[in-house]
Amino acid sequence: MDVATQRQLLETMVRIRKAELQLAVMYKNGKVPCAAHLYEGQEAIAAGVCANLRRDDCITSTHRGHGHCIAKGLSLKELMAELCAKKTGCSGGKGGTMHLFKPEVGVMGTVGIVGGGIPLSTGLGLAMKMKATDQVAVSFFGDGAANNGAFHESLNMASLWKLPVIYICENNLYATSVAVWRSTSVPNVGVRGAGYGMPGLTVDGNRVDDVYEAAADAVARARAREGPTLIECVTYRIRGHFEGEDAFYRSKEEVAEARKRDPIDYWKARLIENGTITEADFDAMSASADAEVAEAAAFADASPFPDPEDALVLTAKEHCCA
Amino acid sequence: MACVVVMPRMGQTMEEGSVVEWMKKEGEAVSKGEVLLTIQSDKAELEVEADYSGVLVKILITPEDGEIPCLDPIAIMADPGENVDADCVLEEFLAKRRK
Amino acid sequence: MARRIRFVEALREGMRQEMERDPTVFVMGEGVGPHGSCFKQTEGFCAMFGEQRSLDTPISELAIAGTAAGAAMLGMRPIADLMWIDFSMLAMDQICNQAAKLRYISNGQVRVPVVYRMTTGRSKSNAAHHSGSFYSWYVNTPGLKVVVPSTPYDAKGLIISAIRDDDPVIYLEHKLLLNMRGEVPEEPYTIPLGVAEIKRPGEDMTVVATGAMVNFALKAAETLAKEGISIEVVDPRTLMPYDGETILASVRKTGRLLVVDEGYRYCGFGSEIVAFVVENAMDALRQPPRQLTTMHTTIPFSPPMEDYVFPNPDRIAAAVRGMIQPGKAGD
Repeated sequence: MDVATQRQLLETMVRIRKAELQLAVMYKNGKVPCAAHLYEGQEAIAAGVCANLRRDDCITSTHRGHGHCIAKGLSLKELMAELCAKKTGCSGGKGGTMHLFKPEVGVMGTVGIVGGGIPLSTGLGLAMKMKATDQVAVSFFGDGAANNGAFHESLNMASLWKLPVIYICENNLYATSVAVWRSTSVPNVGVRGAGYGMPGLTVDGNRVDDVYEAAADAVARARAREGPTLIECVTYRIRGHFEGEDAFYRSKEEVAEARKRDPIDYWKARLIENGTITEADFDAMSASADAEVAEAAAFADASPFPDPEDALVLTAKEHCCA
Repeated sequence: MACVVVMPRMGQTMEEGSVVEWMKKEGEAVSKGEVLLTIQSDKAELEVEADYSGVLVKILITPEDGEIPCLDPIAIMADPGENVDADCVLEEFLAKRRK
Repeated sequence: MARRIRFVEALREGMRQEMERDPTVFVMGEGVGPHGSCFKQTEGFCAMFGEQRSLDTPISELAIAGTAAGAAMLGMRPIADLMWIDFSMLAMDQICNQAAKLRYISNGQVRVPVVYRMTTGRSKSNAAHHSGSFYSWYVNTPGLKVVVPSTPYDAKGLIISAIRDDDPVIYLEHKLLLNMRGEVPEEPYTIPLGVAEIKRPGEDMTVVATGAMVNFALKAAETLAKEGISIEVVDPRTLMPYDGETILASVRKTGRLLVVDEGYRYCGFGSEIVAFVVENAMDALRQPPRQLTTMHTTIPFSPPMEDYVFPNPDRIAAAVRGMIQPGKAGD
């Protein structure tokens, strides 16, 4: 992996972390009206996968999708403004956290239904194949979605038609409050690839280099039109399912243990060890991210709300008989 | 810069909360991310981390005050060494909210 | 004499002409490929367009619907065949939560030009899982358009319009109409969505009917005409958005309304039309409107029971008589 990519991965993870922590503060202070499902601890997956993607490649994501969108190129300003329900948000305030779109950078929707994005990204892959482009589609979803019918139907279809889709299962060990070993008869999602005729692997989702390398192979395979891949990235959901959740179903000790495997700490240590960066470089990266996040938060704060009548802007007049 | 700490909204159904225990005293330094206080929400007792590093200048709400609405002021924080008129800061905050 | 072809042939011709004109149009569904679809709606397409544009799928309704929506987001124009409206229930999340909402929640950044085709309505002893008419659920979902042609002419014009529409359209093919013959021009043509047609002008009562009920209403009209009763049969053709103006104009002329719809009455399309007319033309109504719908029960298998629960021309005629001549020949 070249030096530029190593740095970029660290930068992306730091930006995601800082953005999410800022959103946690904004949520607590009543600036974000919706439930917030934050990505802290899982940054290596979004960063490692998206670093392999071009601008015209597409992703779909989930209710826990800010990290993917940031890594794919959605600006922090548009992200935060959308979460604050402002007119300047990427969906004009119509979508919120679970409906983030920015087709210009290939963000084709975070989705509020568990598993709902998997058939959509399969369809993106179908269009790419039919139009004979060399784009690829990435479907981000969690361990919960891997038990949903949409997952099974989609992987079967993608394999049948050799669609250029990479299925990334972020196994953060909890689907809302239910641990994966309580919900999943075979709690290894990677093995399911074999059942659908595609490569299926499991990697440490907190090691961005492992994620990056696995995704690189899968993206190359898809771009060469050799078919889809399933990659399970095992990680840990540091925060509750949503902000403010009393996550009684797991112990403080378990969370503390998981913090020791922080993906940013891991990669920072690796890059300092191999001489790619110094502590000062990291501090500069961190400060830059802080500044970007602060600017985005201020932008969101200062932006106006949509006009109430904007609710009907994309709805045909004849549908609105009151 | 001086700022108002509010009763945080920790969850979509939380309308009110009460202070259970302040982990810092007035005048004490606070680091961002440190647990500043614990509160009782409608569902559970939760730790609240400080959003900023600075000094806890004034505590406005104590456990004796019982339940107060989310997003109401509970304390004033400021930068170390900053000269702060706590009442002024509070009034400015409330005035902005009334707009 | 103008060419008379069957409803299924008209539908097939409309799809074929669009697929010839626009390479982004394709069909996907169970058996749409070499088999030509379960009612031959895509017969010959595989040979004409190849297997990729006449794409056989596994029995995966949710993924069929979702893949179609995803492909549409990137500029393809899929026609997804879900076969029976009853099976479409397996695809509801992708149709109603995804396809229907993507344009809105993206604030217009994406469009979803997909057509979801499905057969609807009773046939003969198709029983509980193959006789549904649940389209009111789709009418009730913002973001979806719903069309139900009642003639071969309407079938071709509406499928072409549905394919060219940039939003999701639910296209319903009534099983009893597939072999119906009618005049259909050879060249491609469109029927604008949201425009009703007066299938038979009349003076004494407006009968709004949908799908196969249009033909039942026309048969009833013949019978009633011999008795000196003249009904105006209005076919909305598009259920969402429906052509309220044409319906109101008709009711203002006749002063009476009967809606005949095969869906269940509760929160059904018939109820919507009655409410709409009462809200907007109360002054024109000489008497309360009525609905004639399928009885609120699971559809039974055995023919005498099955026939009992559905509307039919005799019941329509009796309902009209009952309204115009109360106390005589109620249903």
